[in-house]
Amino acid sequence: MQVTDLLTWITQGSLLLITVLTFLDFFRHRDRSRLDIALMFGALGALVLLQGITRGTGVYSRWLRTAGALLFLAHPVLLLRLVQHFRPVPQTVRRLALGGMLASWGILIALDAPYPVPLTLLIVAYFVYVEGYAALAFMRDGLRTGGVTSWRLLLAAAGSGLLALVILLAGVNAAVPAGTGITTPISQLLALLAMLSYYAGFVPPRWLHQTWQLSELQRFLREMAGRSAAERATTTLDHLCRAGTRAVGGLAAVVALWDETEQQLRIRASSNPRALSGALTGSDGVVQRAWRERQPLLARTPADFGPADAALAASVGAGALIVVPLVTVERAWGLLIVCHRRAPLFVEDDIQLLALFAEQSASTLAYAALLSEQQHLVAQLQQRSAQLEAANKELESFSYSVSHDLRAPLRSIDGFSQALLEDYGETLDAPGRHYLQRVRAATQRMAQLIDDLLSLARVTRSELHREAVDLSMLARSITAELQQREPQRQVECAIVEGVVAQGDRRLLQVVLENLLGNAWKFTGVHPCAHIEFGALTHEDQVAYFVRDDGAGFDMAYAGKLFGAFQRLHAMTEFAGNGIGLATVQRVIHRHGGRIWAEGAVEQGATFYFTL
Amino acid sequence: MGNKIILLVEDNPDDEALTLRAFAKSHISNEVVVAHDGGEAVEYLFGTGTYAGRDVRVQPQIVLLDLKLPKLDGLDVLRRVRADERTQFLPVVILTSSKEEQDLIQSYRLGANSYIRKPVDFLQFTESVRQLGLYWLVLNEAAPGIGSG
Repeated sequence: MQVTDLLTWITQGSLLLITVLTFLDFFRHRDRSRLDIALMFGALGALVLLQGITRGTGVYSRWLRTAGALLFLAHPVLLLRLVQHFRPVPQTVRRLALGGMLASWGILIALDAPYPVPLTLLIVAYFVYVEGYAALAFMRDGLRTGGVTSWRLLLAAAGSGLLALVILLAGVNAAVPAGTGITTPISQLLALLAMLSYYAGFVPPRWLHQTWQLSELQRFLREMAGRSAAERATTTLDHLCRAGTRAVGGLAAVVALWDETEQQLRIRASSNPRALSGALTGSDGVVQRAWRERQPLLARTPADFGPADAALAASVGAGALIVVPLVTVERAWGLLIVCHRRAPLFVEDDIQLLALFAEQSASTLAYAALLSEQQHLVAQLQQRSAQLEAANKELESFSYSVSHDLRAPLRSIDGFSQALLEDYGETLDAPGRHYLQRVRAATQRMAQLIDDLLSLARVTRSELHREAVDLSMLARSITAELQQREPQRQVECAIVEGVVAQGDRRLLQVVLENLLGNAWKFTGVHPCAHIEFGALTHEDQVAYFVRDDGAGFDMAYAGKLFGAFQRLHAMTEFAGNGIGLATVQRVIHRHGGRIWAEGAVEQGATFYFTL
Repeated sequence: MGNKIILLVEDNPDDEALTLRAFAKSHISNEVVVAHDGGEAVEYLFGTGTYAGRDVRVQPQIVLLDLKLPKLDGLDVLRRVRADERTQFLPVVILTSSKEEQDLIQSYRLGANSYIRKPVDFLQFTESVRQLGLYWLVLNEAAPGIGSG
């Protein structure tokens, strides 16, 4: 088989295949543009089909052949119908085309092959003229528009151009038979390329289609990249309008966002200053329906417009609208509305691409909303912090004046009571002197109370500086001091070495002073006391403890241990005002730890704490 | 103890009475000059105002200074005392009820010699005063030019 035959087979085979595909496509989505495409291919394919039938069945019928040729010659007019989708075709051109087609038909019907050269040239001229016109129209529109549509139109233009070239060569063959040897293979090749171009242009395969879309998406994303989040938030809508218009070859695009307070859609961005602005009202029309259903919709003709749609379309001179919702999973933000002069030929592609863009922009909007909420929260937090700081400062100055001013009268009370006792004690009887003693004792207690309260307050407001603190060393120094103050007491201190914890040194000192001081105090009755300090593991955590074998406490009252001013012993048994443990608890809690105690009456007590 | 003068700067009359009583109880018989506010203290030390004409070469052996004073604050008095050549080495003992760290730090920073917190317990206070007296009036060697000899 010669190369030319092979080429012929391939060309014709692919043409038939494409024809079948386009018809299938039409049956799947029944719309005008698909029908036109199918018919256009059908015209080309019919010739091949009929030729095949003739060859196959051996039935040579002039009428069959003629029919095929007639259908083939109808192709340019059908192609013109497709061009009509993009731009109005002038009356003259249409008339010329139709006339040419009818003339060609006349020639074919009336006469027989081979045809006289001038008539052949007439047919060729008609074909080439119309195909050429279509090719130019496609090319012009393809260059003007953008995105996937542009590619497809340019391929369609290429296909038409190549087909015109093929027919031109056939005409040349007819006029100059001598050159058949060279031109025929070239024609075959060109025909094949034309088929492929038409195929890729009108019914592109999935992968090709997705590749184009991907490059558009990349372009869209690239323009947004490299900008700060805040910048992206403010510019995303304008960018969406411009990119949307460009990518699908529309006239203009607007973005309408849902306004919660007004409960309606408001136009927030547009690619054309002439476009409608303000609110989109009304319950009818494609825009409102798309918003309600959260689905992309197309208004093919002005007949499908609602009142709001019509207003928008009129402002830019559009005859068709594509509406794509901007949604994220959590929330629906608004709509992207792209205006076209007339319904695009390859509208599914457009909608798919716009949906991708819309999704990106919706994400950006969601992110911007998140950012602004975060800023709001941060501002709130700062305000609260400032308030807290102010309150703390007030408290500090209050404590300061308390520490100073409350003591002075106390000192006077105590001082003059004592002065009374010393200077006029003889004039008083025993109960009288006793009263004065009680006055003095009370003032001492009050002074201690003030100190403890101040200590408690200071613990709460002071800052926590965490560092490694050697608790063992602290415990040892505290017990040493206690011993020094009361050298007559016999106390055995068992302090585990090397216990180190992470916490605020001063506050931990307060804790140990209180706990060890308590242990010291409550073992005061026993002639020989034992106090322990150490650490153990409790529920996967390190717990520190202070144990003594002193007076202990009833476990039934364990809950009251750490309450401020709570005492489990009478004043006469042990001194103290009940603040110590409350302070300790506050320190431990500030470190994020726990404190608890175990004990039994007259059998000692153990205080555990974690940090 | 001779005629070493004690300057007591105290605005609270109760505290003043109790302190003087404490001196008496401790057998401190030195002359005690009482200034009732910061301004008065400065006037005494530099011989101005109400104390104009006083022989400024005769300075107290020890100044017991309260912090919270009307008009001129205790720390301001300290500042003035340390700033003047005639009084820069004058022993100043801050005698106050405040235990606030900031007061402590400021006092030492401005050059106080000692900081004693007035206890509420009068007996304790008397004991503190006795020890004060013993130390500053008897044991301590003042800088030359201070006091009358």
